[in-house]
Amino acid sequence: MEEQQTGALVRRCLAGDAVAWEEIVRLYNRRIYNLCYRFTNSPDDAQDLTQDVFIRVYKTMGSYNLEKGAFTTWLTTLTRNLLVDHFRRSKQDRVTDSIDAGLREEEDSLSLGDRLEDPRPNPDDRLASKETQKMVQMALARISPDLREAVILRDLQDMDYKEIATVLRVPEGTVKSRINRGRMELARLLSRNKRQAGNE
Amino acid sequence: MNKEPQNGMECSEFEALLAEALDDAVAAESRPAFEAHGTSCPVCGPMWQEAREGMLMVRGLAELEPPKNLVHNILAATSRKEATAEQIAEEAKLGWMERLSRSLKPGLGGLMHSRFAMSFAMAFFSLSITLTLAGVKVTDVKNMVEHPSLLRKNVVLGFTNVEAKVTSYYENLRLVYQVQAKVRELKKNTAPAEGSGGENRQQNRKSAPEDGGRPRPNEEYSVERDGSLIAQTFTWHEGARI
Repeated sequence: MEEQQTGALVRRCLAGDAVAWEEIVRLYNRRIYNLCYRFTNSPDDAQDLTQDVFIRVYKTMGSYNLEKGAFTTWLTTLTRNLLVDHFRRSKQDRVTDSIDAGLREEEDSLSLGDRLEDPRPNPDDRLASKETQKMVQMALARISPDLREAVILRDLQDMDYKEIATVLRVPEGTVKSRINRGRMELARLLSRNKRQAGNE
Repeated sequence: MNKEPQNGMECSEFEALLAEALDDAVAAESRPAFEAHGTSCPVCGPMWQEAREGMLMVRGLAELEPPKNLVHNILAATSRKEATAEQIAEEAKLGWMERLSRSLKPGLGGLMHSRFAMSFAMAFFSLSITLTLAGVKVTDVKNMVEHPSLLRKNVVLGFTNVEAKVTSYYENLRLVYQVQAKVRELKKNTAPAEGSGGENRQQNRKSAPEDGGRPRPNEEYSVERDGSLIAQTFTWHEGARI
């Protein structure tokens, strides 16, 4: 049903309907931003990449074949290609930061207004949850890109194995194997970090 | 990893089903063997536990809210691209003159005014005349632009030509002076033999003040010597006589 609606939007967009294009952007920008953020672990990079993705979509929408596959799969494939390009470009500059450094950055980036407006009642729970989220995100950023993208597409983007195999251009068996390894690696990294945090 | 089947399942089979088992999508007939293997195998049991923990942690990540200006920025960026594409399509339909004038307008709009245009025309005219007089041809310039290595060669060639012309001019001038000097020398040598001529000149000089001090026009004499005719010009000022 959703794909049919998206198909209609794409057709209208190809016919030059600016409203349809705006609707597509509004429908998918959150999904693409999250995918980019979880992969790059940088809000600025995620924002830039999301913009790049939509500019690319806008330019190449004519090449999308409605009958060949779902629009979401096509969009995710395009995003993944840009993420891989970005990863290769930034490979030289990348420095593996510690999880603590990431936590400090997160705390600094929160304004007083944001902290006050946070609806959760218990500040301790909120802090614990935020820290856990940040630790998971940092651990995600530390596993290898092949495993990371498979885990993100499955567990955060909720794509099925077949779609992930199409996006990553690998067999389904490889997708499952990468997802398993990625999850295990994450669990190991997090338990190691918890142990280190307990010793300090 | 153990390759021996435990509870009717190998470790590789267990691993292949791991992802589906975490999604609770293992077929009913495989489930008892899978669970039994996970409980008994010392490798696969912890693997199952770790994969489950990892999955729950990642799935526990909250969805992030994109920046508020993201949609606006995307729409602005794409509409700019659209405007640019339309502009390119429109420009493709125009003639080259219109395209040229449009491209000149942003920076050189003021210079297209008639006063400036006339000044440019005059400057161009002056430059072209100068170049023509200097012997520079448009084809030479074209060749020079196409083959920069010819530039030095052409400059040297031009300089040599000009130098040859100047040298030739001065050589000719020197020859003329030499001939004139020779003529004067001959005249001086022959002057004592022409006594009557000298007396005439003295008489002329003496009679000059009688004309009221007015300078007399040049007088030309023809002196025949050795069968050749030499033209001589006398002026009132001896220093200016050639």
